[in-house]
Amino acid sequence: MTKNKHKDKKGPLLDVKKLKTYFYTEEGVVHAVDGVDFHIMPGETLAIVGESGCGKSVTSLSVMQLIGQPGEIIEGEIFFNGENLLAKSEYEMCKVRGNQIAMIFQQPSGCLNPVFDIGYQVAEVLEVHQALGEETGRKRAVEWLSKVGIPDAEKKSSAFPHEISGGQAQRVMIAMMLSNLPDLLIADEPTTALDVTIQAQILELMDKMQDQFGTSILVITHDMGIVAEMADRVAVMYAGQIVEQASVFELFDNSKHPYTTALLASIPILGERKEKLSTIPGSVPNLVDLPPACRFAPRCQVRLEKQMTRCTEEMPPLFNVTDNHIARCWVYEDKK
Amino acid sequence: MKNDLLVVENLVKYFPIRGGILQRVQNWVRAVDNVSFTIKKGETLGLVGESGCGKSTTGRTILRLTPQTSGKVWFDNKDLFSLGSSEMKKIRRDLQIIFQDPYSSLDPRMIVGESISEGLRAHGIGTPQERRQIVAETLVRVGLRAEHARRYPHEFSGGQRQRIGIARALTMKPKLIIADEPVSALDVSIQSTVLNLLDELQEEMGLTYVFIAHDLSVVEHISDRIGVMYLGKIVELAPRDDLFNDPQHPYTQALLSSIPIPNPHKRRKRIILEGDVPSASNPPPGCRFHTRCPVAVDRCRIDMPDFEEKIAGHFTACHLVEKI
Ligand SMILES: Nc1ncnc2c1ncn2[C@@H]1O[C@H](COP(=O)(O)OP(=O)(O)OP(=O)(O)O)[C@@H](O)[C@H]1O
Ligand SMILES: Nc1ncnc2c1ncn2[C@@H]1O[C@H](COP(=O)(O)OP(=O)(O)OP(=O)(O)O)[C@@H](O)[C@H]1O
Ligand code: SF4
Ligand SMILES: [Mg+2]
Ligand SMILES: [Mg+2]
Repeated sequence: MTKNKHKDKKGPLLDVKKLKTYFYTEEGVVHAVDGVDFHIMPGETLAIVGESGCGKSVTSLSVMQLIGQPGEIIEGEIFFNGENLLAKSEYEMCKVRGNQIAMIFQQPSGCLNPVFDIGYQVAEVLEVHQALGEETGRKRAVEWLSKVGIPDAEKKSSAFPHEISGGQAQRVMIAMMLSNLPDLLIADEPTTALDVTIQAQILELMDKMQDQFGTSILVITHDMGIVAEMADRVAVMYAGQIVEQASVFELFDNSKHPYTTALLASIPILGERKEKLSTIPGSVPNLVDLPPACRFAPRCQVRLEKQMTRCTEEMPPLFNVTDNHIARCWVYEDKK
Repeated sequence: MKNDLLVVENLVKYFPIRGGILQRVQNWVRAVDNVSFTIKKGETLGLVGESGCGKSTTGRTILRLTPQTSGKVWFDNKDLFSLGSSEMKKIRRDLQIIFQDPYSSLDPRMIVGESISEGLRAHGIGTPQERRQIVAETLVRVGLRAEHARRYPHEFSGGQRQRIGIARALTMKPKLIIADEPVSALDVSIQSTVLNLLDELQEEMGLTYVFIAHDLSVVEHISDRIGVMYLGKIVELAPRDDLFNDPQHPYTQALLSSIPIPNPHKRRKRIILEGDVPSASNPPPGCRFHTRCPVAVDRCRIDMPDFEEKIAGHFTACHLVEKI
């Protein structure tokens, strides 16, 4: 069920190649994003999923070029609409961030200005980007606030950021980003801080926007439920790398990487009660000292069962498992 | 009542909102407003609901960590709220709590062995030697190692710290454990190990759980019966399968349909609720849910629906649900 209405436009909207973003800390070099490739077609939704600390946020912040000290993009290319974003000046990048790419952050704090009411802040975005007059801007702002589930939006629009709850602040930020009608929306755990009934409102809204305007979405989440509901394609990250990438159906029906398979087996699924949940022994590796080996090897049951020695000696590349399905695992070596 | 380990009857907890120069009480937060349920020995009751609906306050009030406004709680056929402090101290051994954030509930300056044996010391149980033995055994029981007793909390991962929190509750050999969002802060792959551990311990030690969480998939996995809370009230309470297969309350129906299912073949039509949960200090009259209810009628805006056993074992508070 691809919502892609722009298949005729050939190239991807976003094309990230061999991205490496490292942090130079006292402890050592943190390989937060360590050679990541992915692309997003116009109108498509790509989900990046993975556990805490695997590099999801750093990936999206790298696309936006919002990596600060001690971090640095040390390698790679990021093409947006065919232009290399890494070659742009900060001024040009600013214009891209405001107009074509919008990002919803995990934490809304810092995105809202404490001295203006929330209606003003949403209206400002509309006025600047859609050249609306002040009055129309304000009216539209109220509409957007009510679309993201702010109750009594007319009245609430004159509230200041400190007068609303964290969940409401998150939704004001979402209203600002969506009302921009960007070509690409990057949503980093957009609903993690929200209750499920509010989350449902926001997901519905993003869905509608995509249908209506053909927006591309990069959604970052650790919730496999959100992945299954939203994504056309999925990239699974583990310890700074993409370990598997496939269409959403292929990934859930036919996962290939031992990590993905184990992760899917470990989640309780509503309405499908399992006697016992599977577990993944051990914990994620430290991103400072990474041996030249499969990063999942210390926790991998498949490696033990198949008694594979290569896993701990050499880093597996991404192998083509089937068409448009890749996995970083030595099991699929002969398929290359 | 004989088999019921815990009976909660019309439990009410209001928090005062003070203001003005004299700090007079100006209003009340109706955190828990007339909540009733029972739990049998060995059973797990799940409490779910969105942020601020009163789940934690229900748990804390039952344990007398915060005084009740009104209502009654019987534990092991004893009227908890009427017990004197020495009797209460005795019974505390049987009632333990596990918190969401195991880090803030562990003293960072204390080695975990001391944290775990704190309850034993307070109740004067065992010699120091015996207490060390109990700590070592319990650590092993929750999947850690005996020598971990000498370490400090910061030396453990989130999942390990949650095991320490569980170990601390277990040393007292409690009858009832109130687990308040015990896995919410953990990564999915770690969540499953802690859930399995809680399951095993229940079987082994005949424990009874109140399991509080906002994640319905997790609650469904672990619970025998589930209560759904909204704005200080339980709106529906039923055996797990009945609640999931045949939800009666419009809020439960919306809540269930809102949960993204990790199966792309099952993309569903969501029931989208409008607006936000009203404030607990100014709840709407009539049914608390009527401001967002897609099927509300005039009566819902005026009369508060009773929480009734509409079907055998299945309680609902909604005017539109017929009693069978
Ligand atoms: N400013 C920084 N300095 C040092 N290390 C950093 C910094 N920001 C991120 N990291 C490290 O980079 C790695 C990836 O972090 P990132 O925030 O991308 O994780 P994530 O996948 O988004 O996790 P979460 O699900 O918890 O949000 C982590 O190991 C993190 O500790
Ligand atoms: N000590 C307190 N003083 C005043 N109000 C309180 C206090 N503790 C809780 N409340 C209020 O009581 C209501 C219920 O809070 P409670 O913590 O029980 O909710 P919860 O269901 O556990 O929510 P969450 O899922 O966010 O943990 C909320 O409106 C909360 O703000
Ligand atoms: S490469 Fe080896 S260790 Fe890594 S996931 Fe595949 S089988 Fe497991
Ligand atoms: Mg992140
Ligand atoms: Mg709580």
